[in-house]
Amino acid sequence: MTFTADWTGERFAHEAFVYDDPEQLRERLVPFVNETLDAGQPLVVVVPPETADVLGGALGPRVDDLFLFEDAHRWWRGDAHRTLAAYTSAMAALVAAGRPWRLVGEPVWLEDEHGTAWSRLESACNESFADLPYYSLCLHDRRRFGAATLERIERTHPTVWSAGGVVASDRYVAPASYLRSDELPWHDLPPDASAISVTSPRQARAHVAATASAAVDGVDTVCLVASELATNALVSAPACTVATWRHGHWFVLEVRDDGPGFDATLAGYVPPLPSQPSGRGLWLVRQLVEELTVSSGPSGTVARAYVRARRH
Amino acid sequence: MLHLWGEVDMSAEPALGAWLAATLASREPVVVDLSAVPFIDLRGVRTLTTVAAASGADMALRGGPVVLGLVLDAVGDVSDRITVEPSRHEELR
Repeated sequence: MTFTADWTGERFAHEAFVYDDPEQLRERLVPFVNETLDAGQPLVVVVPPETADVLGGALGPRVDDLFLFEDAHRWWRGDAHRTLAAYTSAMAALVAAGRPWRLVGEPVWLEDEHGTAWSRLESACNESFADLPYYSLCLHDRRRFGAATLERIERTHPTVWSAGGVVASDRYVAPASYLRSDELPWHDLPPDASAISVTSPRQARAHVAATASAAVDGVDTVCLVASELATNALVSAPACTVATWRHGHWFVLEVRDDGPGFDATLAGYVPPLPSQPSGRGLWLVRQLVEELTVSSGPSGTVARAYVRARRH
Repeated sequence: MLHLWGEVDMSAEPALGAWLAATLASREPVVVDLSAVPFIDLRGVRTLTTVAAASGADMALRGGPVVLGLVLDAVGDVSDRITVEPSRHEELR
């Protein structure tokens, strides 16, 4: 009997299970964990104490066989990107080994102010982790979450546990669609935007230091963002345009180039794996700003970073 | 101790990487003083960590701009060979 449908241990599987009570939780969780340990696969468990109790009671001494067993409340870094980075770091050896492993995660932080950012990363994982031999079972206690959050769970997990089996999620959407639907919409560059053409990251920093100091706290951070975005642009083009303006309660920083562009579907949503030589710049920027939108094509790339502006 | 001066970004990194690699060839522990570095970006930090990892030398970073901490946090998984000495500001608290 298998409790993970037809997973062959070759590609990423991402299942959401929303349970109503501890008994339902036990019926899904305990066979899954035993099946994993019976197969000799490493298992990472990050769950709140109530779930840990259910698991610990059922596993007995086998609990020592878990690769990692952590309290989800402490695991949350107060920020989606840092929390995913913690997972990536903890699982680095498993990624490197390249043999099948599994995770039981219970993201108790979905109602946090950064919970929507976490859901974007869950969505992006479906593409960025696609080729890893990794099964992620995400547990959710229905009593913790509102309707909007439950919908996000179904939109970001390709499979769900339902009526004793793994089935496709009816509401699942591809990462590109999910991410674009949740990001800030593009608006026209205002005529009073302060824009210059630069040929070095240093010029970008200087321009942003001059325009941001009256508008935001943490000018150093905004200068670093400008520098990283300009560096990305100047790798593919001899010059780029740096513009800043206010939009509602945002201070917006835009870097635009006419280089060859790249696939921006997951821009900055992917935690850097040690084997990846590039892609860290946008990952860094996403950690430093409230919102980042990136559009790229054969005729160039536009990146917009949003930071909260001080009140006038 | 090695002293770096000036801003470290894409225009400085190739020369910095080559110089560090030659300097750290001895594998002896080294302190890199960044107190005269007003800015360092992700590539700059990666240059430091990559060279330290490749040379096998333990490296301590001393001083440095505010953004150094932000970048180090984001790089994550910094090699055990790299330590960051507390800034004077933190020592005084």
